[in-house]
Amino acid sequence: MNNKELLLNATIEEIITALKGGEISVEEMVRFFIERIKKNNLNTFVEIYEDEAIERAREADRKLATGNVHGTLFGIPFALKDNIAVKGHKLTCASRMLLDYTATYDSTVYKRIESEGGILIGRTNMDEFAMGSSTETSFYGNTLNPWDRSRVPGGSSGGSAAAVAAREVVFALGSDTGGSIRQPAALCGVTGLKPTYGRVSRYGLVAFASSLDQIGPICRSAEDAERVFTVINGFDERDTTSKEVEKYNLTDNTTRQFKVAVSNDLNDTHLNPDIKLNLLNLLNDIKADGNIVEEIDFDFSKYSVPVYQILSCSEASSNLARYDGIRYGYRAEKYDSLFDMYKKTRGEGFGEEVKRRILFGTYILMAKNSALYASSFKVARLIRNKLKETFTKYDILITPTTFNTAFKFGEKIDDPIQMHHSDALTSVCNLSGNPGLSIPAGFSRDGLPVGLQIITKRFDEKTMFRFAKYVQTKSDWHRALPEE
Amino acid sequence: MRIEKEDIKKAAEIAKIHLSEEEIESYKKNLEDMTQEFLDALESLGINLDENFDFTKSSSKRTVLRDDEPEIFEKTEMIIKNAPLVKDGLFSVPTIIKGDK
Repeated sequence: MNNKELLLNATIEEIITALKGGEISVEEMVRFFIERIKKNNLNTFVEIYEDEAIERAREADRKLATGNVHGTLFGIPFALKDNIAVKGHKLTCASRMLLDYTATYDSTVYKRIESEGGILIGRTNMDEFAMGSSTETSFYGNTLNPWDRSRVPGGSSGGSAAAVAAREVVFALGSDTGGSIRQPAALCGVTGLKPTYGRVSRYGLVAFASSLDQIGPICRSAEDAERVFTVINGFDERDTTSKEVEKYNLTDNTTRQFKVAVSNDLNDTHLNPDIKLNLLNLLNDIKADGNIVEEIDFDFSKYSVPVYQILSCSEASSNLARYDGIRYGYRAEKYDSLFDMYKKTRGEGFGEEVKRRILFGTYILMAKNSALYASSFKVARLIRNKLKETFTKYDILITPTTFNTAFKFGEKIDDPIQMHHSDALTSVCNLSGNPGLSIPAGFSRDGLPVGLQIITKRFDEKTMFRFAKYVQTKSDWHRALPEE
Repeated sequence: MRIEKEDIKKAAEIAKIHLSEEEIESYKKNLEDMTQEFLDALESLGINLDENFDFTKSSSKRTVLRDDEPEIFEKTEMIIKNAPLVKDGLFSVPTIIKGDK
């Protein structure tokens, strides 16, 4: 491999080996990626920390010179979604409300990556407060999909997914409340993980819907995603929902047979026929290897979105109450009383989608609507039980990640209900707490990436990665690069 | 499901968000659609719309605690710097209670 090929296609492990072998320096690598961000001009990054990244790269090169190389992510350039805190850096959630906000402490995930040698390149674009499926609600404007610049990258972690797809960084972190890592990963042709709820600390993640939010990696391959996951997972006493389970370690590469359930969403008439075709081909390949592949009735994609909206908006209405224009963030210029200041600040500081969700959540939490709130938990429990039952018989549940490939800018932004349905196949995992991984599974006839979603039982990322790595030995979809 | 305009206004009042008449109308329609979708889902699943849900079973039984150890807080300046309006090192807010001097 020459250096360019290495930087565009290698795994994290291969890059670290090349660094140790002196084939390339960390500084060269960091400059290479920063140049690409500027040249591509996809609006993936809202800020690049150029000087700081180069300084850290030089530090790493000095360590290389003395043979003092440690860290699972040594020298690896990465990006963070603009809702994950790094002390001293802006943290805006792509909202006017927080444009001038500077984080006062480090998120746990950032600390863990930094201590393993990762080099932060910048913060990436997103839907405002992570509310959206296209990155079109960002205050910073649209991020372009590298496969087709007239199309959305998905969202809300659209900047992170597009940046990894366009090879502007080796990996990025996103957050996933209803599909915000997996859906953009699918639409951009990269690998994205929503871990089991409680497995990755949310400390330093700006809260949207706390019982559903999880941070996860967006990477070039399942192998890389697993490596980043080993770094960021683990108990954190600063997150009350953090689970005290054994820290995840890399799996060995032993192959085995899998019992695979395929959701009947594959036969849904709303599914794009090109997505269906790609997935059927892949499933046939898997079957031919002797794995058990059986279709099951899993109708919850029909119900998950409205339930998800009730729960996530209710939590959001409470979480976003903190933006009052007093201690931090935007404050309206003219007001004539305290309450008037609150109302104008929030009316002007939040965008349309954020206001819609706060309003819906507030409405649901009004005393007379308590039956709506309580009933949504019944559906969530039903989904959880159905998944539990599925995993008594199967190792893996497969669904498409999305019903459609990347859509055009403006196609759905004026139809919130249709936009919300982008999460139909992914929000199931947030409601149940199960992990979900989207991996590239081919292309549509018009050249747009297709995503396959792998779901396993809670805390069983091991089986998930074993299966994903096996699938990625069967194809080169994850190595495909968009034209430049 | 029909939602009254007054309910939208009330929700906006509770959420402390200023909305124009136009916004109220358009959000009213969105909220009606979102609620209706949910009611349709319940009906398809054969679930009753009522308050009978035992929330105590949903949450973890154990509360995670950590030791309450005092530490010197050194970031006061950083925090104050984030405030939109500061006076003498204090957050400045509109007058809440007027004195009668």
